[in-house]
Amino acid sequence: MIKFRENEKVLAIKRRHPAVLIISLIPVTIFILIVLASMILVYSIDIEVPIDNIKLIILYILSLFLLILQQIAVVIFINYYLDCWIITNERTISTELKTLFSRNVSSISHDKIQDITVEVKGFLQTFLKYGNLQIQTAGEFNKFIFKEIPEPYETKELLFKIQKEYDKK
Amino acid sequence: MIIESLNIVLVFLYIIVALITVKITFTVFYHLKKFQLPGIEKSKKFLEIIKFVSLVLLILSFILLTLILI
Repeated sequence: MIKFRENEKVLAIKRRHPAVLIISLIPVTIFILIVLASMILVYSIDIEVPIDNIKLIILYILSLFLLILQQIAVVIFINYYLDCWIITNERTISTELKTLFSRNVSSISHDKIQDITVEVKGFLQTFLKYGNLQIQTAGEFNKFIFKEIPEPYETKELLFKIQKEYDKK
Repeated sequence: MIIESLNIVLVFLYIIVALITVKITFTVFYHLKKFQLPGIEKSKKFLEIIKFVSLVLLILSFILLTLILI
Protein backbone atom coordinates (compact mmCIF):
# COMPACT_ATOMS: atom_id res chain seq x y z
CA MET A 1 0.00 0.00 0.00
CA ILE A 2 1.25 3.47 -0.86
CA LYS A 3 1.36 5.69 2.19
CA PHE A 4 1.61 9.36 1.49
CA ARG A 5 3.54 11.61 3.83
CA GLU A 6 2.01 14.40 5.79
CA ASN A 7 1.39 17.48 3.58
CA GLU A 8 2.12 15.39 0.49
CA LYS A 9 -0.23 16.26 -2.36
CA VAL A 10 -0.85 14.13 -5.43
CA LEU A 11 -0.32 16.38 -8.46
CA ALA A 12 -0.62 13.88 -11.29
CA ILE A 13 -1.25 10.18 -11.86
CA LYS A 14 0.16 8.80 -15.07
CA ARG A 15 -0.68 5.50 -16.69
CA ARG A 16 0.16 4.16 -20.12
CA HIS A 17 -1.78 5.74 -22.98
CA PRO A 18 -5.20 4.05 -23.50
CA ALA A 19 -4.08 3.21 -27.06
CA VAL A 20 -1.51 0.81 -25.56
CA LEU A 21 -4.29 -1.02 -23.71
CA ILE A 22 -6.54 -1.10 -26.79
CA ILE A 23 -3.72 -2.45 -29.00
CA SER A 24 -2.95 -5.17 -26.41
CA LEU A 25 -6.63 -6.13 -26.18
CA ILE A 26 -7.27 -6.35 -29.94
CA PRO A 27 -5.99 -9.96 -30.44
CA VAL A 28 -7.92 -11.21 -27.37
CA THR A 29 -11.08 -9.41 -28.54
CA ILE A 30 -10.78 -10.98 -32.00
CA PHE A 31 -10.42 -14.45 -30.44
CA ILE A 32 -13.40 -13.80 -28.13
CA LEU A 33 -15.53 -12.77 -31.13
CA ILE A 34 -14.42 -15.87 -33.08
CA VAL A 35 -15.30 -18.12 -30.12
CA LEU A 36 -18.69 -16.43 -29.64
CA ALA A 37 -19.47 -16.74 -33.36
CA SER A 38 -18.43 -20.41 -33.27
CA MET A 39 -20.70 -20.99 -30.26
CA ILE A 40 -23.68 -19.43 -32.05
CA LEU A 41 -22.86 -21.43 -35.22
CA VAL A 42 -22.54 -24.73 -33.35
CA TYR A 43 -25.75 -24.04 -31.44
CA SER A 44 -27.75 -23.12 -34.53
CA ILE A 45 -26.71 -25.80 -37.04
CA ASP A 46 -27.81 -29.42 -36.95
CA ILE A 47 -24.91 -31.82 -36.92
CA GLU A 48 -25.60 -35.44 -37.64
CA VAL A 49 -22.73 -37.42 -36.21
CA PRO A 50 -22.68 -40.82 -34.54
CA ILE A 51 -21.16 -39.48 -31.31
CA ASP A 52 -23.68 -38.46 -28.64
CA ASN A 53 -23.56 -34.96 -27.19
CA ILE A 54 -20.99 -33.75 -29.72
CA LYS A 55 -22.71 -30.37 -29.89
CA LEU A 56 -22.63 -30.03 -26.11
CA ILE A 57 -18.98 -31.10 -25.94
CA ILE A 58 -17.97 -28.49 -28.55
CA LEU A 59 -20.00 -25.80 -26.77
CA TYR A 60 -18.45 -26.80 -23.45
CA ILE A 61 -14.89 -26.61 -24.77
CA LEU A 62 -15.64 -23.25 -26.43
CA SER A 63 -17.10 -21.89 -23.18
CA LEU A 64 -13.94 -22.94 -21.30
CA PHE A 65 -11.86 -21.29 -24.01
CA LEU A 66 -13.95 -18.13 -23.61
CA LEU A 67 -13.29 -18.19 -19.87
CA ILE A 68 -9.54 -18.45 -20.46
CA LEU A 69 -9.66 -15.56 -22.96
CA GLN A 70 -11.60 -13.47 -20.45
CA GLN A 71 -8.90 -14.14 -17.84
CA ILE A 72 -6.19 -13.12 -20.32
CA ALA A 73 -8.10 -9.85 -20.93
CA VAL A 74 -8.33 -9.29 -17.16
CA VAL A 75 -4.58 -9.81 -16.73
CA ILE A 76 -3.85 -7.36 -19.59
CA PHE A 77 -6.18 -4.76 -18.06
CA ILE A 78 -4.84 -5.16 -14.54
CA ASN A 79 -1.29 -4.94 -15.86
CA TYR A 80 -2.25 -1.64 -17.50
CA TYR A 81 -4.18 -0.34 -14.50
CA LEU A 82 -1.61 -1.16 -11.81
CA ASP A 83 1.38 0.19 -13.71
CA CYS A 84 1.23 3.78 -12.66
CA TRP A 85 3.42 6.72 -11.84
CA ILE A 86 2.29 9.16 -9.20
CA ILE A 87 3.77 12.64 -9.08
CA THR A 88 3.41 14.38 -5.74
CA ASN A 89 4.80 17.69 -4.53
CA GLU A 90 7.62 15.80 -2.75
CA ARG A 91 8.47 12.74 -4.86
CA THR A 92 7.62 10.53 -7.79
CA ILE A 93 6.29 7.05 -7.06
CA SER A 94 6.39 4.18 -9.52
CA THR A 95 4.29 1.04 -9.08
CA GLU A 96 4.80 -1.68 -11.65
CA LEU A 97 3.30 -5.13 -11.93
CA LYS A 98 6.19 -7.32 -13.07
CA THR A 99 4.18 -10.52 -13.23
CA LEU A 100 0.80 -11.35 -11.75
CA PHE A 101 2.49 -12.26 -8.48
CA SER A 102 5.34 -9.79 -8.42
CA ARG A 103 5.16 -6.05 -7.95
CA ASN A 104 7.71 -3.32 -7.76
CA VAL A 105 7.05 -0.06 -5.90
CA SER A 106 9.77 2.58 -5.82
CA SER A 107 9.99 6.30 -5.28
CA ILE A 108 12.45 9.13 -5.81
CA SER A 109 12.63 12.48 -4.19
CA HIS A 110 12.52 15.45 -6.56
CA ASP A 111 15.90 16.71 -5.35
CA LYS A 112 17.57 13.55 -6.70
CA ILE A 113 16.43 14.16 -10.28
CA GLN A 114 19.42 14.99 -12.47
CA ASP A 115 17.98 14.86 -15.95
CA ILE A 116 14.69 14.11 -17.70
CA THR A 117 14.56 12.65 -21.20
CA VAL A 118 11.50 12.18 -23.38
CA GLU A 119 11.48 9.49 -26.06
CA VAL A 120 8.72 9.42 -28.66
CA LYS A 121 9.27 6.69 -31.22
CA GLY A 122 7.33 5.84 -34.36
CA PHE A 123 4.23 7.05 -36.14
CA LEU A 124 1.67 5.93 -33.57
CA GLN A 125 3.46 7.53 -30.61
CA THR A 126 3.96 10.79 -32.54
CA PHE A 127 0.39 10.84 -33.82
CA LEU A 128 -1.25 9.97 -30.49
CA LYS A 129 1.24 12.02 -28.45
CA TYR A 130 2.61 9.44 -26.05
CA GLY A 131 6.04 8.10 -25.24
CA ASN A 132 8.59 7.21 -22.60
CA LEU A 133 9.86 9.68 -20.03
CA GLN A 134 13.14 8.76 -18.44
CA ILE A 135 14.36 10.30 -15.21
CA GLN A 136 18.05 10.11 -14.50
CA THR A 137 18.70 10.08 -10.77
CA ALA A 138 21.66 10.39 -8.50
CA GLY A 139 20.48 7.72 -6.13
CA GLU A 140 20.23 3.97 -6.02
CA PHE A 141 17.91 3.76 -9.02
CA ASN A 142 19.81 5.15 -11.97
CA LYS A 143 16.83 5.27 -14.27
CA PHE A 144 13.18 5.82 -13.59
CA ILE A 145 11.05 5.25 -16.67
CA PHE A 146 7.46 6.34 -17.20
CA LYS A 147 6.48 3.94 -19.96
CA GLU A 148 4.26 5.03 -22.85
CA ILE A 149 2.58 7.85 -20.93
CA PRO A 150 0.35 10.42 -22.65
CA GLU A 151 1.71 13.94 -22.99
CA PRO A 152 5.31 13.19 -21.97
CA TYR A 153 6.56 16.71 -22.77
CA GLU A 154 3.94 18.30 -20.51
CA THR A 155 4.86 15.81 -17.76
CA LYS A 156 8.51 16.77 -18.16
CA GLU A 157 7.63 20.44 -17.75
CA LEU A 158 5.52 19.60 -14.69
CA LEU A 159 8.42 17.70 -13.11
CA PHE A 160 10.83 20.57 -13.76
CA LYS A 161 8.35 23.02 -12.25
CA ILE A 162 7.86 20.87 -9.13
CA GLN A 163 11.61 20.41 -8.83
CA LYS A 164 12.15 24.18 -8.90
CA GLU A 165 9.48 24.70 -6.25
CA TYR A 166 10.98 21.87 -4.19
CA ASP A 167 14.44 23.46 -4.39
CA LYS A 168 13.08 26.81 -3.18
CA LYS A 169 11.88 25.24 0.09
CA MET B 1 -14.50 -46.92 -22.05
CA ILE B 2 -13.71 -44.08 -24.48
CA ILE B 3 -16.71 -42.08 -23.29
CA GLU B 4 -15.71 -42.55 -19.64
CA SER B 5 -12.18 -41.36 -20.38
CA LEU B 6 -13.57 -38.38 -22.30
CA ASN B 7 -15.81 -37.49 -19.36
CA ILE B 8 -12.85 -37.61 -16.97
CA VAL B 9 -10.87 -35.32 -19.29
CA LEU B 10 -13.79 -32.87 -19.49
CA VAL B 11 -14.20 -32.77 -15.70
CA PHE B 12 -10.45 -32.36 -15.27
CA LEU B 13 -10.47 -29.48 -17.78
CA TYR B 14 -13.26 -27.77 -15.88
CA ILE B 15 -11.42 -28.06 -12.56
CA ILE B 16 -8.21 -26.63 -14.07
CA VAL B 17 -9.94 -23.68 -15.77
CA ALA B 18 -12.09 -22.94 -12.69
CA LEU B 19 -8.99 -22.95 -10.47
CA ILE B 20 -7.16 -20.59 -12.85
CA THR B 21 -10.17 -18.26 -12.91
CA VAL B 22 -10.52 -18.20 -9.12
CA LYS B 23 -6.77 -17.69 -8.68
CA ILE B 24 -6.61 -14.76 -11.13
CA THR B 25 -9.74 -13.12 -9.69
CA PHE B 26 -8.42 -13.37 -6.14
CA THR B 27 -4.98 -12.08 -7.17
CA VAL B 28 -6.55 -9.09 -8.92
CA PHE B 29 -8.61 -8.29 -5.83
CA TYR B 30 -5.55 -8.71 -3.61
CA HIS B 31 -3.49 -6.29 -5.72
CA LEU B 32 -6.23 -3.68 -5.85
CA LYS B 33 -6.88 -3.88 -2.12
CA LYS B 34 -3.24 -3.92 -1.08
CA PHE B 35 -2.04 -1.14 -3.35
CA GLN B 36 -4.77 1.39 -2.86
CA LEU B 37 -3.81 3.65 -5.71
CA PRO B 38 -5.52 7.00 -6.02
CA GLY B 39 -8.63 6.76 -8.19
CA ILE B 40 -9.13 3.08 -7.33
CA GLU B 41 -12.87 3.68 -6.81
CA LYS B 42 -13.27 3.83 -10.58
CA SER B 43 -12.12 0.23 -10.88
CA LYS B 44 -14.85 -1.09 -8.56
CA LYS B 45 -17.41 -1.22 -11.38
CA PHE B 46 -14.91 -2.99 -13.58
CA LEU B 47 -14.26 -5.55 -10.84
CA GLU B 48 -17.97 -6.21 -10.46
CA ILE B 49 -18.20 -6.86 -14.22
CA ILE B 50 -15.20 -9.24 -14.05
CA LYS B 51 -16.78 -11.15 -11.18
CA PHE B 52 -20.14 -11.34 -12.95
CA VAL B 53 -18.75 -12.47 -16.33
CA SER B 54 -16.46 -15.06 -14.70
CA LEU B 55 -19.35 -16.40 -12.64
CA VAL B 56 -21.70 -16.57 -15.64
CA LEU B 57 -19.10 -18.39 -17.73
CA LEU B 58 -18.27 -20.80 -14.91
CA ILE B 59 -21.97 -21.58 -14.40
CA LEU B 60 -22.52 -21.97 -18.16
CA SER B 61 -19.58 -24.39 -18.43
CA PHE B 62 -20.82 -26.29 -15.38
CA ILE B 63 -24.34 -26.65 -16.84
CA LEU B 64 -22.89 -27.87 -20.15
CA LEU B 65 -20.63 -30.32 -18.31
CA THR B 66 -23.57 -31.63 -16.30
CA LEU B 67 -25.62 -32.09 -19.49
CA ILE B 68 -22.74 -33.99 -21.10
CA LEU B 69 -22.27 -36.25 -18.07
CA ILE B 70 -25.97 -37.08 -17.64
